[in-house]
Amino acid sequence: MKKFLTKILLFLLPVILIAYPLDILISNNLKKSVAHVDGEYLVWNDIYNSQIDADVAIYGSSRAWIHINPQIFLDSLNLRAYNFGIDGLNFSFQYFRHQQYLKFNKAPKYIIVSADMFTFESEEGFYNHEQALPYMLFNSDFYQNRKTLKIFNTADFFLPLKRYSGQTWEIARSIVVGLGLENEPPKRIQGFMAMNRVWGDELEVALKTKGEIYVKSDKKLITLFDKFLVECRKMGIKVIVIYSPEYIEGRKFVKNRDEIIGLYTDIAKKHDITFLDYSSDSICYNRDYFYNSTHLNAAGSELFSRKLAKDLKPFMLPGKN
Amino acid sequence: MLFNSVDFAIFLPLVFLIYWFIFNRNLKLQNLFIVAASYLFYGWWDWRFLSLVLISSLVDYLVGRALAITNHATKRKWLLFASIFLNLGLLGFFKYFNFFADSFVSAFSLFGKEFSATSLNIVLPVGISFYTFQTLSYSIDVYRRKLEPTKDFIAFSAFVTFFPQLVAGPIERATNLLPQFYKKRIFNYPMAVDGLKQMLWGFFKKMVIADRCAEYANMIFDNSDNLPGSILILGAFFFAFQIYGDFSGYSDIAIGASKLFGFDLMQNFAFPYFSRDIAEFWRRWHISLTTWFRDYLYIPLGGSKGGVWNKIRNTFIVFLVSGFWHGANWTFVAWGLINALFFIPLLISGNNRKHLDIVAKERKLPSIKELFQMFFTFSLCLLAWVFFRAESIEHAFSILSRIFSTSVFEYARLDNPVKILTTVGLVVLFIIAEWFGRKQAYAIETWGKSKAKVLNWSLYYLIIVLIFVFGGAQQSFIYFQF
Repeated sequence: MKKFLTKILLFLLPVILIAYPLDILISNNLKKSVAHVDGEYLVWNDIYNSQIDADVAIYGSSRAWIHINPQIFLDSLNLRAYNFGIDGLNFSFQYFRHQQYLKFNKAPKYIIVSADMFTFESEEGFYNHEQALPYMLFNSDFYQNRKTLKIFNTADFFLPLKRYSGQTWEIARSIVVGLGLENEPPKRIQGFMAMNRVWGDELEVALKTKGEIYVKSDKKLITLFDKFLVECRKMGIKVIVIYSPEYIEGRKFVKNRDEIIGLYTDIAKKHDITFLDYSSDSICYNRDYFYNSTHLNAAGSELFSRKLAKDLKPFMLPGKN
Repeated sequence: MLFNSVDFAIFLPLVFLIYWFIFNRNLKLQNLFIVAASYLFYGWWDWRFLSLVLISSLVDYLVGRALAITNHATKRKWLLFASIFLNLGLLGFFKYFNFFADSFVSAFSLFGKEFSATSLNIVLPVGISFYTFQTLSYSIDVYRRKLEPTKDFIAFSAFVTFFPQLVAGPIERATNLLPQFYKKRIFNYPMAVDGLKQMLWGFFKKMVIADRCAEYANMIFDNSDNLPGSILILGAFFFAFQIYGDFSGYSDIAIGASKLFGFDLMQNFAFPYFSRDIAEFWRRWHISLTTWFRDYLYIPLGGSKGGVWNKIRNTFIVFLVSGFWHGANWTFVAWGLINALFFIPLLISGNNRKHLDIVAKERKLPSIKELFQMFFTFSLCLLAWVFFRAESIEHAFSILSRIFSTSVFEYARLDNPVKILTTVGLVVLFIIAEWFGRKQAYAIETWGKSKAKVLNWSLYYLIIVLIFVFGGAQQSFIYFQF
């Protein structure tokens, strides 16, 4: 028995000894990736390295990420903007990123929340969960938000390497980055990415496979949004909610669309904030500006960002026309 | 508690240390500790299920005791009937009630009679099919006087609940496992090392092969309506390795963990995908269940005695019951039926016991004929697995109609070809490892027997690295639902 236990310990010793350094190595390399997981690491790095000095912060899902170009805000309004849009995630995780942003960086003057049909919908998994991997070990903020990071368990936050188990493509990417072989352009500039894509068949496929869907908004997330608005007001941050353009034909996809738009209108009234609804804008009628029913392509986002900057001018730069 | 969980990674070493260091001097206490640990292991899912294990243990123990003191044939029959009634009653209620209620309603609706289904929201207790069959085998063996009934309730409870094999087998026979609880266990170093090695291989099968394949099998089966036959064949291939890696991986972990505690469980899988005909496949797949049905159903039905028609009838019954044992769905029954249909020609022609040894026993590589036979048998298995995996009979037929159409030649663009090819590559590596280890109880049994310790350990580290890098998303074991 003694021999058995000694051998087990001897066998495990190298594993225990290299676990933490290896974890750091993988994480540090992964953080350097400019293209993996939609370039989310670039945003997280900017947050944790306190690199964000923005007047305007843009929140939302992919519709924020690829619709609103911060450079146009700088050019048109002379305001520094940063896009925090996160692909595929609802307000729960957007709020977590907001907290981390404020913890490590100077607060912005304005926050533009790009709302969509799914902002308050409960999520079952954690889309693009790989974005959390390099940052979550021994990170109490991530741990306290573990309910948001649904797919991880307690051991993932405290046991080195545990969360990388089975993350084949993240390990591979870490090696590629470590060897200096990542040959892709950064997926985000100031958090934004323009999608150089043309209209595809995603709408037809979605309508065919899913039909019309009913989106149920989670009351807890609406309450969280209320809390967020109150906190922002206290901090002197002005929040503007927008609903960016969506292709007119795609509207039939969500049955209770009007109900959700109504929800944003009510929230805006309740908190006395501005709600700009572009869901019937002229952009919505031109398919050339979209690559699917809910996402603008590069041309569309360029046009929309200019339009938005112009519309926000009276709010952000009063008296300057 | 899942084997592939952090909970189990804490549970197993703790139980191991307490078992060997605190209770090693007293057999009764050691057995009692196994029972307690097993109840904890099982109650981790849902403590309410513990009552079922306790009832099953208690009833079969009492039936055994009662059988010991009576020679009266009718009384003995009634006692056996009581055990069968209770065990199958529990199984029937928890596993099949809703199925029968729904099927009853559907059947009558065909004739224009509408009934409202009285479906109960019954939670299926994990592993109920396994431990009820294990306890049943005890009562039947005692009834047949093949086994001396035990007086030791703790040893009997340990036999019923022994945590490594409680929820997904191997379905042990009392004749093999129960006597091991009577004897003092002495720590056996080679056995423990062998156990760890087998567990490691089991984890590889489960986490790398099964969980990786599951990802694509699920994706393909769930979207089968939009996919061509070529991809659906790939889906069936992935499922074949998912279920094999999952179930045989579980068995390896169970057998390996048992060895750590000084117990020797029966082999449950013997490289079934290298079978040259379907009869050989069934001698190599889920051996503990197949032999259970042979001993407690096929032979009592008359077995191979009484002419060809009796053999055919008995074979059909066994396969249908075996299919139904797997789950309360017609798809499983169809799976059993198809296997019976594959088996019958071999039975009639007297070729069902043609391949008793492993293929190419004295050679490294198979002959062309053997290769063709294995490919053909595997293809039959794929066809049957479609029914096993499909949501319904209609779903299975819709998949097969696409597989047997021109769309099987259609080139399909895959979303993540690199990821899928990686999984295929892992499966190919796995098949190679299994091929070269096919003469052993498990593929890597003789690994680590080299004199160069560095080489041995390197191989173990390699498997750990493969599990770490390629392990799929944690999924429950498929057979827990059966």
